[in-house]
Amino acid sequence: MQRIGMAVLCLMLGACGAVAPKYTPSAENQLALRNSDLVHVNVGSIGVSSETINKATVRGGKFSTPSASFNAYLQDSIQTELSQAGLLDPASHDVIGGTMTRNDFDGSGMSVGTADLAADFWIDHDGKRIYQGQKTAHFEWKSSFAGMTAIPAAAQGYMQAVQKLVHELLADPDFQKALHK
Amino acid sequence: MITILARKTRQLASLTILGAMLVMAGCAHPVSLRADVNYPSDKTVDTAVGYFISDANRKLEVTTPAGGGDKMRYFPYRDLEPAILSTLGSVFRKVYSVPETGRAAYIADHHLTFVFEPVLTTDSSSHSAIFWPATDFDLTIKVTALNPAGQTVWNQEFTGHGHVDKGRSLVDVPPAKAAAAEAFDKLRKALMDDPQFQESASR
Repeated sequence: MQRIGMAVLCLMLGACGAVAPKYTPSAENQLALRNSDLVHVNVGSIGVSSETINKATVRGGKFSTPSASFNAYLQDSIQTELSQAGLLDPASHDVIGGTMTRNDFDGSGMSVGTADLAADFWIDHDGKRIYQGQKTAHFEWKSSFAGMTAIPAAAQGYMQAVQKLVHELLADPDFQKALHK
Repeated sequence: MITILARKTRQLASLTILGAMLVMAGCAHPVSLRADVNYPSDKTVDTAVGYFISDANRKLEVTTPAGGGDKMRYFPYRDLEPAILSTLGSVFRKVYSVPETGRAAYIADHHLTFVFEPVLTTDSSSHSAIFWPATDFDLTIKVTALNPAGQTVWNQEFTGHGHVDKGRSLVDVPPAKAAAAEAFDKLRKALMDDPQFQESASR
């Protein structure tokens, strides 16, 4: 009985690991890519400004992504958006790169969870830099006292925060100008 | 003394379980309906179309049954809009999201040949009395196509059903993915088979 009670308490409050969902393209990002007459582009690596970028917890448990790291998740997200829009080409002379500079994630709130993300992005054309921009995103989601609800909500919220950060890049007029046909 | 301590511990464990049951009873778990629909867009009709989803529908959160007496909640229009876009984008060269305000001017400015209005209906269930993730999901997409004058020129309904025995995910809904794939495949085929859409490039 005591063991069952402890297990139930663990499920209620969290204290278990959580993984962000596989990245899903957003409609806003697809609209920004599909109707802008952009050239095909490749995605290089997205690095980190500090190792603390890849340390995140939610309700006492480790929080991770389906990719190897949080910066790899951001890289995969941009690739997924470009692929869905039919614009990803690994052989392209235009390569998107970047550095993730902020990855603050807080799913501890009983009513609201927050994520604050930031990254420096660039585009190189045959090694020559043709675009550089700093992007930030703040996202809030509805949280809960119960870990069984709050943890999946935090995982969803994190993916939406990444969608928002990626949108800041893809909808940037300078980004679109750099990749215009 | 030991007996009293053991009794107190049992009482605490019972209270914990009771408390958890009260908190979790009828819990609505937040999930995302990932469609994973990605059609090629290399053979499209050379015309521009739009689709309309109201702001209210984009914010619409629905709750449907799941397993173990629990429910799940999600945003069907927000989650499936990329699939709508991918489906239309695989048939027509340009696809725009028509805004609520200034609709007539937007349609004229972007030379839209048709505006598609999807209505999504969902339902879910589970065979499990223990695990909450749904094992079955139903999606119905009712699509109306309007011409630039706002007259209905096409109206059809497409259904999809998904079922999984395993693969219980806490953040997305595998049977919804299967249901969406089936329904959007049907929608895409109908658009590709209909002469009025395939011949719209010359308009």
